Amino acid sequence: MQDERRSTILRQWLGMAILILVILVGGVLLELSSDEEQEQWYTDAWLVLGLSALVAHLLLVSLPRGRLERAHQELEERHAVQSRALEKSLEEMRHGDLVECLESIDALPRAMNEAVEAAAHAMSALVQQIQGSSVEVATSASTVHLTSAELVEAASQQAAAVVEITATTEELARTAGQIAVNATGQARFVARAQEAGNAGATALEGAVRGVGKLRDGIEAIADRADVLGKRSREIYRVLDLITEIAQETHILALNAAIEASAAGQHGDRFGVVAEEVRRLAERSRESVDSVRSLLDGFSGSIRSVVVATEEGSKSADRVLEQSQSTQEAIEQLRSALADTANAALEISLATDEQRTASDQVVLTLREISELIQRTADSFQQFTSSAERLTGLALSIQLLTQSFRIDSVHSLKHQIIGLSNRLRDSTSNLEVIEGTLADVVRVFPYIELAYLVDTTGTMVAFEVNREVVDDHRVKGTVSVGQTFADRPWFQAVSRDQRTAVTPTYVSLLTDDRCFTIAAAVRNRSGSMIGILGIDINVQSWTNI
Amino acid sequence: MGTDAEHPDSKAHHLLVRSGSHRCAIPVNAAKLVISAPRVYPLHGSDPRLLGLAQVAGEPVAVVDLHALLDEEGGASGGHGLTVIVGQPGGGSSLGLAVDEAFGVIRVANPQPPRPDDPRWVAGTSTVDDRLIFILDPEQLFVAPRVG
Repeated sequence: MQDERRSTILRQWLGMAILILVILVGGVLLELSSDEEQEQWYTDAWLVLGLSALVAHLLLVSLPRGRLERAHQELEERHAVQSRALEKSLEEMRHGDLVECLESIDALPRAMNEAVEAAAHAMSALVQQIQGSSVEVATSASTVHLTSAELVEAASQQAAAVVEITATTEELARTAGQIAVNATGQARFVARAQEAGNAGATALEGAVRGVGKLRDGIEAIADRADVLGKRSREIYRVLDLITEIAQETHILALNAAIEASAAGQHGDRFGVVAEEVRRLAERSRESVDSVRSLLDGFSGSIRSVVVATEEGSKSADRVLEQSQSTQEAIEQLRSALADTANAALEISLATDEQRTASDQVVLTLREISELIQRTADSFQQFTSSAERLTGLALSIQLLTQSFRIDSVHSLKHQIIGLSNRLRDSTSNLEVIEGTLADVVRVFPYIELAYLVDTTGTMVAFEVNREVVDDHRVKGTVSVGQTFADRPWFQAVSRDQRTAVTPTYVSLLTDDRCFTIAAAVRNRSGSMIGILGIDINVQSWTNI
Repeated sequence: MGTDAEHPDSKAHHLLVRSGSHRCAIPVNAAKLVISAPRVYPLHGSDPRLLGLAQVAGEPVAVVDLHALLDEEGGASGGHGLTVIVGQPGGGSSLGLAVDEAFGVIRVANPQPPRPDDPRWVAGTSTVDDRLIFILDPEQLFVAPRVG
């Protein structure tokens, strides 16, 4: 541009020099080629015209061109300023800093300023809208994920319940079949029992008649025994009489023997007779005693027979009564057996129907089980889709976080604001720790806030105790530990810009997290450290 | 004893009776009659061995428990199916001996003198079928109640 302007100036002066040269050459030629008077006039006229042309060129061309050149130069300078401002704004915009890109647009023309500002605001609004949409998507996807997970669990439980119900119903069907078989067998048994009952009733009727005859016979025996008892008593009386006679005979024989003895030799023969009579009397008495003994036994037997016949008669009466009761019971039993047979038949039919119905229920339950399984699979796919959707929403959210907008939801904007708070306090450890504590307290989704120097050495850090257990801190992070190999440190050190990492598994919580790091600069703009915050994805998305 | 002199054979004949556990031989010359036990009317305040009075052939006869006579400590036998009427020698009064049983007239062989502690109306002892029998002295029977 400068060379072109110099060339233009050179061409301008060269034209004037050529014009002057043409005027001078023309004047010389006119002087040489014409007469004195005419030549002088021509020459003067040529010089006047040439001078006029030169003046006119100077006035009409050179002077305006100079002004135009100055104006053009000013315009070029302003354009350069505006270009740099626009370039800076666009550069910031390219890196997603929709706040910083507005800091340098005051130098732009008003229309362009408004256009850039409007574009930045539109992009900020778009980013916010995307953030909000991604949050809603993440929330909805999380809800869908939870719901579908619950539905999967419910479907699994439902499937298990259906399987259990199916097994129970199958068992019920088998039991119903067994009951039907048993009921059929019971009906057969009842039929046999009815036949046996009929035979028993007939036999019992015969038994009743037999018992009646037996009782009549026993009564006849009792009558005969009573007669025998009477005869026995008569025999006793006869025996008593015989005994008495024998006793009297015995006494008579004794007296005769005494008299015979008293008679001396004359009474010897009488004494022998008396002794024989006495012996006969004694034998009679012994015979009577023997007969009495036999009669006692006979009488005892008769009494036993009488007692036995009485007891037999009573037993026969009881047997007859019991037989009649048994007959009635058998009749009732036959009636009950008939009812039982009918009931068993009805049970058999009912259980057959129940088995058929149970089989149908089992088939239906199997279909339901398959349907529930397919539903569970669908819910599982739905859950996977929801997980993918949640991940996608998180990716979108992280993508939007690569933009810095003037919003409390812009992590870049927040960390740059925090880094600005540390601008004048990097040598004051108490202020740094206080600032980091404020950061953790204000933003509860932060696991760890920390400041490292330009070599990547940890200067200070603050752990969110609500999220991280104390025992996980030891051995994981400490002051003096170097973080120079971490991607966020290398990115900020390299680009001098705020960096957002992809998600990774936190060593402090084993949860998914990501890091945002921003340079901390002094008043002169030199980077004096890096402020980093580790965001717990779960807590962040919940908020 | 006097009757024995009149009938030497009858001296050895005795009526063998049983009263309780004791067996006695009563000389047949003293035994007048054997009867079934008559109805006896006890006498209040009399000797316990005297069962009472009975009417025999229209005459009152004292009836004595033979078992009580032979065994004063043993008491009455209680049976008394028979009563042997014993007459006092010489045709005096009669006495009834209540016995349980009378076996008949026997001959007592080898009589032994009475033992020191035998009652005075025991004239001696002998054995029949290896069983001890007491031989009664009827005279002593008639004085015994009065002596006792």
